[in-house]
Amino acid sequence: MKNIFNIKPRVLLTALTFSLALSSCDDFLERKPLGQYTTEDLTSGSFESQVFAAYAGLRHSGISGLPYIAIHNIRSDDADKGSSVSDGIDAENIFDNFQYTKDFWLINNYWTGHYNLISLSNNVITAVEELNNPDQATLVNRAEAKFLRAYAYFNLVRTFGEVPKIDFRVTEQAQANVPKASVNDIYALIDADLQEAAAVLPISWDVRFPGRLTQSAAKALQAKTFLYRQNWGAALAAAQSVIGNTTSLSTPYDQIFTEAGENSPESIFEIQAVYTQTLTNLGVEYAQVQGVRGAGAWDLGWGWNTPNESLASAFETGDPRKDVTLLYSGQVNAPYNESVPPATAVVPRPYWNKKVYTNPSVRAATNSRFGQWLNVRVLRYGDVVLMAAEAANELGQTQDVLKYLEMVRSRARGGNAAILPPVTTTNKAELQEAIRHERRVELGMENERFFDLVRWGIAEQVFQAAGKTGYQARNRYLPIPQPEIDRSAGVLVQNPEY
Amino acid sequence: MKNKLLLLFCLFTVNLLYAQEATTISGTVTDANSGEPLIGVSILVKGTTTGTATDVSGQYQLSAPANGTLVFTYIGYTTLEQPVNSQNTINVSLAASASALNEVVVIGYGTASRRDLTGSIATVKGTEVADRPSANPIASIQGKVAGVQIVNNGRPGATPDVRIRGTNTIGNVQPLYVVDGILNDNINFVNPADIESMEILKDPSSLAIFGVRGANGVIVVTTRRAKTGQMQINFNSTVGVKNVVNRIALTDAAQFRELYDEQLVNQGNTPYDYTNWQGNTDWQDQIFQKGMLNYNNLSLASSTEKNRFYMGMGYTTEEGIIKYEKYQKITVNLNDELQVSKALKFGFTFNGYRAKLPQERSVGGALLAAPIAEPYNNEWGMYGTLPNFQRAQVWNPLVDIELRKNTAINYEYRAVGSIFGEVNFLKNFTFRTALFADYGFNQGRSYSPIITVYNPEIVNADPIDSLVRISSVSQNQNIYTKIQSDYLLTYKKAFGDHNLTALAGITSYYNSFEGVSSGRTQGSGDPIPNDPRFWYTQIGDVSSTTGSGNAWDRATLSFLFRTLYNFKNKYLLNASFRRDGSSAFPKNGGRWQNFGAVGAGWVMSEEDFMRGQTFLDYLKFKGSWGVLGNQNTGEDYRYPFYPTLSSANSGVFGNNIVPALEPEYLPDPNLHWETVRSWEVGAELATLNNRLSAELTYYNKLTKDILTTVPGIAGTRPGLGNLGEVSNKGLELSATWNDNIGNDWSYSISGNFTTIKNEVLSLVNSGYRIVQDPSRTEAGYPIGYFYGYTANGIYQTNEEIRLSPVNTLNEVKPGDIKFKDINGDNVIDENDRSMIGNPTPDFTYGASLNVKYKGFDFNTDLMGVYGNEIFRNFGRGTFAQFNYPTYRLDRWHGVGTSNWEPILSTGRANNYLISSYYIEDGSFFRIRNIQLGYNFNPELLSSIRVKSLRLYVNAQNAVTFKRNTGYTPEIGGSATSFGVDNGSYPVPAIYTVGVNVNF
Repeated sequence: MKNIFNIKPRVLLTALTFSLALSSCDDFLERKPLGQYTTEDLTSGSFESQVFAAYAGLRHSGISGLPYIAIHNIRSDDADKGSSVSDGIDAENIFDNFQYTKDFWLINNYWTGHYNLISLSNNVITAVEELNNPDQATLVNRAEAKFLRAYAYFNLVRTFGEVPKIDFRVTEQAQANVPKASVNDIYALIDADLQEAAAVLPISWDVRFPGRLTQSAAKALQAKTFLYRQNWGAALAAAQSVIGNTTSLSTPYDQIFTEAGENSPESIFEIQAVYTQTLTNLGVEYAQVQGVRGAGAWDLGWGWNTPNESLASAFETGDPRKDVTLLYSGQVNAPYNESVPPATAVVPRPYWNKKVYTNPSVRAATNSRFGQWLNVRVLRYGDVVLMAAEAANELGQTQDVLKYLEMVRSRARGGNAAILPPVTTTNKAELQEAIRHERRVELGMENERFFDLVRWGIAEQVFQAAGKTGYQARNRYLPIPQPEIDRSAGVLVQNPEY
Repeated sequence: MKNKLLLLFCLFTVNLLYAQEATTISGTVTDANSGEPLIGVSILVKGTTTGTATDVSGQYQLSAPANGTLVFTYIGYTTLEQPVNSQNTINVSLAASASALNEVVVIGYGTASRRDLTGSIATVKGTEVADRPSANPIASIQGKVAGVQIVNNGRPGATPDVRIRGTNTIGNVQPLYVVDGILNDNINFVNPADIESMEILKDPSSLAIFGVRGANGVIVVTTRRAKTGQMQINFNSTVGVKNVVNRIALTDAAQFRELYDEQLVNQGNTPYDYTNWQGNTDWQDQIFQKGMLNYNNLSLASSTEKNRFYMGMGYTTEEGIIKYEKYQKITVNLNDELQVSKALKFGFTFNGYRAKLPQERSVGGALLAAPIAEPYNNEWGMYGTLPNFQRAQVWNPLVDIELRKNTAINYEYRAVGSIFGEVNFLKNFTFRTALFADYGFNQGRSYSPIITVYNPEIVNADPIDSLVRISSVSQNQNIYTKIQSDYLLTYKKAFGDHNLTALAGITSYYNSFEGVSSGRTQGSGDPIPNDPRFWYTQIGDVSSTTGSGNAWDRATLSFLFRTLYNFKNKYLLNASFRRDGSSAFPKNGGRWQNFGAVGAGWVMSEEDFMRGQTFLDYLKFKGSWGVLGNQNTGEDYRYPFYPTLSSANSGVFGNNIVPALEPEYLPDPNLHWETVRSWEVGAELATLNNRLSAELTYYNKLTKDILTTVPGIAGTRPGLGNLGEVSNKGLELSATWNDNIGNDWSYSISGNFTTIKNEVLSLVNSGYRIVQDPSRTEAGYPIGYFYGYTANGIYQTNEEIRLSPVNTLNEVKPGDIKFKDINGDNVIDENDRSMIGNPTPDFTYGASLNVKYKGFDFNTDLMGVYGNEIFRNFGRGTFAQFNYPTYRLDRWHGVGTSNWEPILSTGRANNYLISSYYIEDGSFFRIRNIQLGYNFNPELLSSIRVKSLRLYVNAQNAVTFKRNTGYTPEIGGSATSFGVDNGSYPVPAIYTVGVNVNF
């Protein structure tokens, strides 16, 4: 009992410290991430930052790296797998011999890269839609995101056919697990997106943003999507609105693909990359995977996607575009006067893709041989003019066809009147041949050829003639990657032709 | 004392006349060690059923014949028989028996007597791990404890992979370590020689008190304290050598040429020109070395009535089995306890640690490099490249090992300390408050040299390839801080037959990390020299500077409560409860969570009806059930609830870079910690005079609300959610037999056996799976199981292909692997995949044998696992040509030449699909340790003032019986992907000799 007096102060003391502890325990347990933003920290001007993240998605390997090159170009009659004979034999079987397998890393990455871009775009689009009164700048951001989404879906629908259509921001895993949509549905989304992009995107941007998406980019892409559905009228209208009053293509052909020619007036849509000694994570692998496969100073990359004889012999005599498209093994090449090593038994490639040939002084300055700084040209004026020519021809507007063909050829001539005679025929079939030929030599190794052949319906004959005899009709589409089908647990169904 | 003796004498002489009659005998029974009276000791008159028990003051009284014998029995003590010899007062002292039942074990936030506990706690004494050749004490537990699976890593200074009772979850499955009261996840700073004992807590009633950190099990490490008595100085030293005993069999140059030529023919390629490649190199020989190791420890312990002081110091150097790998560490351990007065005690502990970490190397390159390349070219004085079919993907292994040797200088420092105060008041209360702090500093700098190699294939120029063209340096520093405070109030009282120990407390824990790194390259200047004096980011080109930083912190506040109650030492009840609040979740969300457990036990051997029998010395039935928590979300999600915006990906326009913000993931608003609901039942017994003790337990654990990050479908990135359930169940059996043969021989044999059945019960939604080829995790299967095709032979002829089910995956030709048509639809497609292996073993087992004869002691530990599979993943890629393992010499190259090894050709994609061709049996049996020691006779030593001297020789991992082709059958990994052999680091055999001296 005598301890009672001793207890009380002790109890009081503990109670006091307890209550003090409890009140500060709230602060003790309030901790936000250090050195990072959270969504609560965002201000209203943040949509632009999210759009830039979507632009960054273009540098994903699936969109601008080897998967893109393999699916769009190696498969064509212009190019072969390349590299050494024993490297990537499984890829050779798929892309040169059309023995598609359903689980291959290049195809899987292509799928993932494009859906990644779609996801980044959806984040912006949905976020803007949730606003009550978006200002003009925010609407432009949404238009940029819509272009990127349309571009991604366009590639997906050309490559796989029916693919899942996800046009909302995904907050839970299960939402993203949707079945395939029909090709028409995908195109409907593309049309709607590009329609808005074309209406809202500005004509040009501040000097801080060379290469940022403009109205011309949206219209040029629109024209291409219409062309793929043989909608000639709409294609022509879109292409002509891009061309406007221009009567000649100003950038000389041999400068379009150099470092100095990045974001030139010729360029409409270019995937931007930068790479310096200190900044090494903002490059793309586009040049590296196609760089000359040599030793020592000539180890410029993996050497894939090499032009073949079929493309080399497609050029007319004296066509200067041949020397800009093909880098010749075993001889000195303009404009840097470097001597490319000769083909060997192990690496038997007489030609390399010269449109990714980097300037040796830039290589020295960045201390890298692999060209990670080289932008990827996706859409340019030459392409738009030829699209206009093709559409016009289908509609019988012969004079316009000749005008457009001459625009392209005269730029290629570069003032030398002795080569590349102007096209004069007015026969529709002959003009079609001329346009198709011009597309091949103007856009050689620019990742257009395979899909052009498929949409013209001449893929089987051309491949047979070029020696790529494995091609069958179903090979116009790739099978949907098996890992994606596995992850969907039955919701996603494989292409029935496979 | 004299009077008592006189009285006894008188009584004795008087009672002599009445020797045959029954007399009343009384006396007191005490504990031989402490002198405390023992309550409830059973006293039986031998040969009769007459008996009684001691009361609360240890006294008894009964009637027995003068020539009879009294038998005194008490659990945890050796039975004593005392002849009456006509005495009337017989006082006895009982000694604690050799069995561990009366031992005091360390449990969370306190200690308890083992017999009062309803849980499963295994104890490993410090002496068992002190003389083992491993710098990490946990590695030495392998095979000794039922329910604990340890996968060792052969690197010097590496932490082993520990899983207690199966793989609980998908995230972090590492158990919690408690070192002298401080909760920790990294115990590199503990010197095995300073360890007194380690307790492994496995069951819910022991783990619930750890709340949100207890779900994966707890290993409590107690460092040595001075024992009452004089001063003791101890020195021990071990010296030894390590060696890789199981190499992977790879082809030599002649065999390689044979196989590669055939492969090129199969692929339709031109034959290879070997003119520049005439070497015959065994790359494994080139990179391996015999590693030396040396451990030295000195400790000083001194204690008096009032003060106990202990100091231990250790110095360790250990080399790895790859050249130039070296690990050095220095540890200091200090502790002191001062008994200020009978009621007040203060003390502190301090652990200091400094280590120089080895530069980690991997064996991967040596397994892939072709044997036809010469390692070094004398003419040009450089290391050579590899042939062009692998030059871009694989470097000459010696380039990394020789040209980059000693280019990473990494130091690790830890300062772990605590101070505590303990006050006893009101007879039954004890209040203890302790403050702990753990500061870890890591400091490192590294250098990347210019690398040029000799390439014989360059013509018309110097045959030199430049692999790395600019030199660069980098520096990094980081600090981990952990601060913990405990306030614990314990109440201990015996009310008649009821014994109660109750604990209530508050504990807080704060954990933070801050790191900074920077780097520079030579830029346009001169190369940075290969001399450590220059390796700071002050050198080099200023414009090439890169840098970054990182920080996070987390705080937890908890309330805990526990009671240990027993009635007459017969009926036991343990209950515990803990409420944890964490800073990782918001106030209005899942911030506070409750955990608890209840356990019950029945010591049947204490029952009256059991007193008559002598077969069982001790029998206890126990069971417990509880809810535990796991807060370990690992590196990626320090703040799971706060969706962070990453600025890692910038936008680029021309040469302008603009910052971009991108959500890292999308959080689930209802996020909370995952919980493990588990229960166990078991029995412990001791028999045959406590020589045999055994324990059998059945455990069943269900992990719910697993925090899982699900990889996205269609490019999306959802975040963390409580989306899974995993179950682990099995049996644990352990037994020990101790005995003596005569006076000179004593031996003990112990064994343990554990079964594990692991299954993922649900994950996100039905059909969802985490795929990390070749491992998969999905509902209805064990975690991380292997999924693929079943190889069923090789197609010998085209005719056979025609007659077999159609393979729609690839075009198959003779020499390809024939897959089994699992679903019987006569077509081989993706639906013919099934579970082809499970990396979790069906059961694990261990045994040890100790024999002592006079001064000699011999000890051997054995262990093994059975029933798990390993996926052989090294060399499965087709992105370059690698060296061949020798089993490829059995390849198919014609009808009937092989029915298992497929044709040599990288173009046959069919053979590279995930199938049972790559599955190997992971079961193994290992003689883990053999030790022979000799203790010199103390009398001989006293002349040189040495109290004891022991010499020993030890062989660890001497022999392993395994069935896989990799270096070691022990392959760890993450929780969802383990058992995949990518050419893992070998676990070497280690031979040591050592000495242990006490002054």
